[in-house]
Amino acid sequence: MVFVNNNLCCCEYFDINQQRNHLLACCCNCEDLDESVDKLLMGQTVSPNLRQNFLQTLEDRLRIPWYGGARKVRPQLLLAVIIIPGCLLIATLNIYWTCISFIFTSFLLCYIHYYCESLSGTNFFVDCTIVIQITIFIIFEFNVVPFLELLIHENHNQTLYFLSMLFAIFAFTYSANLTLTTICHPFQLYKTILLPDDCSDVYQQFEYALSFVNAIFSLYVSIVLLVKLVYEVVRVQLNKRRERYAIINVT
Amino acid sequence: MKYAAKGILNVIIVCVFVIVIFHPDRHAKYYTFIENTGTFDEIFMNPVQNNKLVSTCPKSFYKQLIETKREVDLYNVYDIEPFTSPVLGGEYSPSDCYPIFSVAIIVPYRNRETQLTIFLKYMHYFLQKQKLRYRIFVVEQSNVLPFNRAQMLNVGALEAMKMNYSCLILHDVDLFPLNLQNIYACFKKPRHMSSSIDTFRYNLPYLGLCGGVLSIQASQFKKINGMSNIFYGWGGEDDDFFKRLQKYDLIPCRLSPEVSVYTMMSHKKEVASADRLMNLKYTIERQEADGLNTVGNNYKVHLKALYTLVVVF
Repeated sequence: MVFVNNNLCCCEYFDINQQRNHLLACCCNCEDLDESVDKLLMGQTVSPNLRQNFLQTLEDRLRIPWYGGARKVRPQLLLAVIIIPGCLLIATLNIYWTCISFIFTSFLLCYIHYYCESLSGTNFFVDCTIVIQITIFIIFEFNVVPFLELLIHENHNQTLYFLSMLFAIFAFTYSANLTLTTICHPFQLYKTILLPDDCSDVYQQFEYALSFVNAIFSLYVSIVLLVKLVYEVVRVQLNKRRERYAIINVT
Repeated sequence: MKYAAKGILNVIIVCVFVIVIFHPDRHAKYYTFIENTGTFDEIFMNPVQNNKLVSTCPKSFYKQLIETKREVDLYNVYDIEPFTSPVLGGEYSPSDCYPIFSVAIIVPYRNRETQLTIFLKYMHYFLQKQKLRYRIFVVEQSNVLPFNRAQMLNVGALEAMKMNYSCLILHDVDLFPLNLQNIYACFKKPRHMSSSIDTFRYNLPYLGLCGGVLSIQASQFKKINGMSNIFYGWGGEDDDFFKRLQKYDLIPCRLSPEVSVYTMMSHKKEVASADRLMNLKYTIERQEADGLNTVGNNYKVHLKALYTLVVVF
């Protein structure tokens, strides 16, 4: 069936039942939910079918307003959008929360990767990567740059590197260093490279704390990427060697 | 037709984004400065001879001091470097010759005792190396109002003028000069001396910045009626001061970033006061009626071993 979208306003959409629906009506007409609650209250079991229908409706109504009709949002993207900035916000409280939040998030992501098949099968981790990049970029551009301590060419370099995934590790480390030298007391290594040395009072103001945990976060991501890169290189090398042995054995 | 409109919209969005990201006002600034070789001619000389037995210090000494390129002398500022004890009140003049510059260092201050001790010891060492006649004025605010940096500087300037100092250096207590090429003297124009501070990544946040360390001739300070007394709390007073300078065509000059290197001793960052932007709006109207001529005389002068203490009530 082909829909003519022209006459949809930005908050309207066609739902799973091919009915014209509106975002403001997202909490109306929840038959499956009503029935489930009824059954729960009466001590009956909720049938898998009902549960399935409810989840489908939920997924269908998760939309953002868009030109030509509201668009669906992948639930896993929403999850990433909540987890990543949430982790950063909690981390701005103080140094203990920074540790707790980063460790917890790592475990959470690992857990999802290994045990949560319904999520790890989807492109949840791609969404996570995109959200991480956008978050780091936004905090850098709109929170760190307004401290007026970066020259324009430093920002330009940063953005160029940022846009090219090939230099992702370097970009993350570089932006982390720019951030840390902006908000911390810096020193010059061998009179050329500016590095941070004293970050003791970053938690006293929210802007500083946010920038700080963002920098730590990008450092952390770059370390993860680096480990991944080394792992890939080693794996490729091992595979090559294995193939060579296989060929020798065959001959 | 519809696709074209969409394309144009995308291009506009990208353009706006790029302009927002790379807008010059969002970044630190490159700035023009006086070359080292031209520095000596810009200096305002004010020899004060108080000892007829010795001759003038040779100009070649100062010229060499300014022009010899040196690695930034990053002494550990916390170490105590040897210096000659000044006379009571923190005044010093070299014994072997009399200098062609005499300067008053004015330091607004409150509640940072350990920092002040380190600052004084380091500054005596640094200024003596430059063969200057100088006196350090520490102006302490002892009331319970929020800190008023500008008023402290006005009071200090008045005291220094009473003692016939014709060159003033307005100096924050947390900034330590690292390069001896950065001569502590006045120039023909006011000079913003701290344009390359380590905590700002050695960059200048904006061109109108004149806080930190600034040298100005006493006559010029008088002409612009000093600084505004109404800025309580952190921020604003230096931007107001810049507007006053601008009005009298006294926009501060600078030396190169390599020369103007400072280290800032870490301390708690302060929250900007809320009414600073409001006060900044009426700078020019206020200039004649608010400044050096309205500070009052609610202060006392005490002579200490390393400095002259001016206590403001």
